[in-house]
Amino acid sequence: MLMPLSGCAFEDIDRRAFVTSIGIDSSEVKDKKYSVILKISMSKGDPKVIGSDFLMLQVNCNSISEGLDLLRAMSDKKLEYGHVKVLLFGEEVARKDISLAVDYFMRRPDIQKIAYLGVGKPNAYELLRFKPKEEAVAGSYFFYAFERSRMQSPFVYAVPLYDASRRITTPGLDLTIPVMAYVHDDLQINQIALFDKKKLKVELASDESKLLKLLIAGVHNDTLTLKTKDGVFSVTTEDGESDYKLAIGQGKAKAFFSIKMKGALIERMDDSGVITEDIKKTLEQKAEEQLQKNVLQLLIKLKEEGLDPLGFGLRYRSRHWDHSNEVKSWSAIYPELEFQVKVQYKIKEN
Amino acid sequence: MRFEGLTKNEDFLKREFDNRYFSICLYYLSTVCNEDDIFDKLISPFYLSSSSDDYVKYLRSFPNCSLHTGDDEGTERLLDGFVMVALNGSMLSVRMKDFKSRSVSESTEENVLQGPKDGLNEDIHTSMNLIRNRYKSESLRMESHSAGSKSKIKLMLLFDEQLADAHALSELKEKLSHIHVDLIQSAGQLQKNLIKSRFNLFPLFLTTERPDRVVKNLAEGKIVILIEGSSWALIGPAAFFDFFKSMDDPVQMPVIGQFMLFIRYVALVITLVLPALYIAIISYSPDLLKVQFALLVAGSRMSVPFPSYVEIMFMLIMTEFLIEASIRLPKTISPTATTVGGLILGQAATEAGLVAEVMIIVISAVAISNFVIPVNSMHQAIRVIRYPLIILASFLGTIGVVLGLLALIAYLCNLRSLGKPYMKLL
Repeated sequence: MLMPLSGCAFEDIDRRAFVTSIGIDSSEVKDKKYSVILKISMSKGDPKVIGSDFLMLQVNCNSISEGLDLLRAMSDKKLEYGHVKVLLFGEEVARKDISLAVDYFMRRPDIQKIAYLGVGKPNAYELLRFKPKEEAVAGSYFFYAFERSRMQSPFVYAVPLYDASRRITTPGLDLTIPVMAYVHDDLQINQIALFDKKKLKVELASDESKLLKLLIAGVHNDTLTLKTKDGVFSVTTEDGESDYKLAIGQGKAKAFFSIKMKGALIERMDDSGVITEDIKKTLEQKAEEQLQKNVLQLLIKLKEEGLDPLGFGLRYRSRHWDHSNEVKSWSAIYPELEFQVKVQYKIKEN
Repeated sequence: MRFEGLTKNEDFLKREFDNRYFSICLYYLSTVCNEDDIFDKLISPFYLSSSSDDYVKYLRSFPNCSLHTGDDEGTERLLDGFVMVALNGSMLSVRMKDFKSRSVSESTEENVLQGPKDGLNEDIHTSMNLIRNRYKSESLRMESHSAGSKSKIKLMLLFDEQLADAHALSELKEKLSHIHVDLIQSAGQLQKNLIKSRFNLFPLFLTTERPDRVVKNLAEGKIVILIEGSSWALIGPAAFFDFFKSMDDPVQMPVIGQFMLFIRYVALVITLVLPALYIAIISYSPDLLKVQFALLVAGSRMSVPFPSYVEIMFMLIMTEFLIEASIRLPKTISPTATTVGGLILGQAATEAGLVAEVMIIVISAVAISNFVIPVNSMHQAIRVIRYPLIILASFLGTIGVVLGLLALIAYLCNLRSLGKPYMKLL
């Protein structure tokens, strides 16, 4: 008798619609701010069938919560946000302001904080509409792409929701989000977008993204093309990591970077020939020079844009006691910061 | 006429004998005495002896022989398999008991791979023989008690005097003396009378039919109660964790034994929590599942018209029927019943769209893991405890499951077996 009284929270799994990704674009309708898109994965009965049918719901609205309410009215099932793994922002929205949206998602209890963030190019809708040939669950393509990028991709590192929120709220650390581009019916994730707390400021080229990933997270299996007097070589970097020290002296601040990389496989690109120890030596030297130059360039570029994805400011703040003034004093120091980069490149025997 | 209460019985015999020198009269119940013994040990020597004094001396040599004057005591003895010998106006009793029981047979309810195979016996003396021979210690005490007001059943208290806890022992004796029931026939019944509370679910005494388990527990300082006419012994004070030990564990290599023990606790958790957790996850928080799996479950539930708790209750009750039926059925039919019930019902229920496929896996996991618990009385308790958890889960979801488990642990911690905490770790 009491059984039917189990309340409103009781909702069987087949009456729930699983949202796997949320996209946010700027609206084309005049006085609406956002266009919220939900990608809903359809359930399937037969485990043998590989396939991922999905449903997309789109609505124009002024706030995300309003949008989600409107979307609720469009579905016969309860929208279940527990499995949202990817939050995509259209490029246009990203260039305006994403901090409010990130804050909203962060505070919503049913959205997992490990959902990955991405900037969709040209917009989120196009990306969410993308249906890969093989996918376990609609939307898992994005998720696995991000997940994999943590270890595998030399270009980007994935930023989960909790990290994004941290990077937005912490002074002295800036947000970066991978850019997902929809090019010729394919997805490409090889660029990093730099945010100035709230809005997208610079999109790094893929070469620069590589270096930034090296500086922030280290790389595995990346390829470096080197030109020497003996010819053109392609060297696979097996492992690379970077570390830095901040030295604040009287009036002058300097950041010392030390990058250590291990190269393994060498491919000769012009003609065949034995790779001697001498060639290895010159390759090592060349790699060091090239990396040093490029890293320095990137650091200066970041400094000139006033962006701090590496968290120099946070490092400074963590080592000084003057809480009330440290943000201010850092903003005076950063434009004057000098860099010194030391690269050690070792090629393994093989 | 003597022994008036018994004379109306067909099996009551009064036989008079006379040799040239003196005469005797035998009174006994033919159903509880061994007539061959009576002939060999009482009647033949009677015709060979020449004086009543010699014969009395001979009778005195029997271990249980005693002299009686009153009738009441005599009646009790007659019922217990004694023969009353009346000569020269005095009355002597001699034990000629015949207890029909199985010979020592294999224990059937607690199977082990290795280790001894024999089981305790309905005959209390045979059981004591099995135990004494395994536990050769001078500190082993055997005390005789009785219970039941109509039919006095003999109980035997066994304990190691040096190891057994004095408080537990005196509490047990106190409880035994307060049992006021007409009839006690089995270990389970005795246990029920030793535990006062009607709503108690968990067995507070270990029941076993294996002499090696009895001996192991004696050596751990436990008290064992043997019951005449039952091949099961009660062991107390018992802790919750004792019920998960099999007699296979000490035989195995330590790591393997530990692994088996671990497996049993995993099975306990599965059989206890899985049905409730299924409801909680399916109907309240599907975000706990992996998304692929969640979609698969949702898909397989599409055709099911009932909410999850109806579905799981239906299947659980079906399995309970199946288990009950296979216990009661004759041994020749029960495999057929299990196959028909288990396989065909499960298959047909999913195909008819009454339950989801995942459900069948859940139910069979629950049913199988229930039988992993080695002691019968414990897995009965666990079987019942599932249902309150299911009800809590269908009202409150995952929080309900957690609340239920908390309540269960609190309840278990509150239990005492012979004054010792039930949740005591060893």
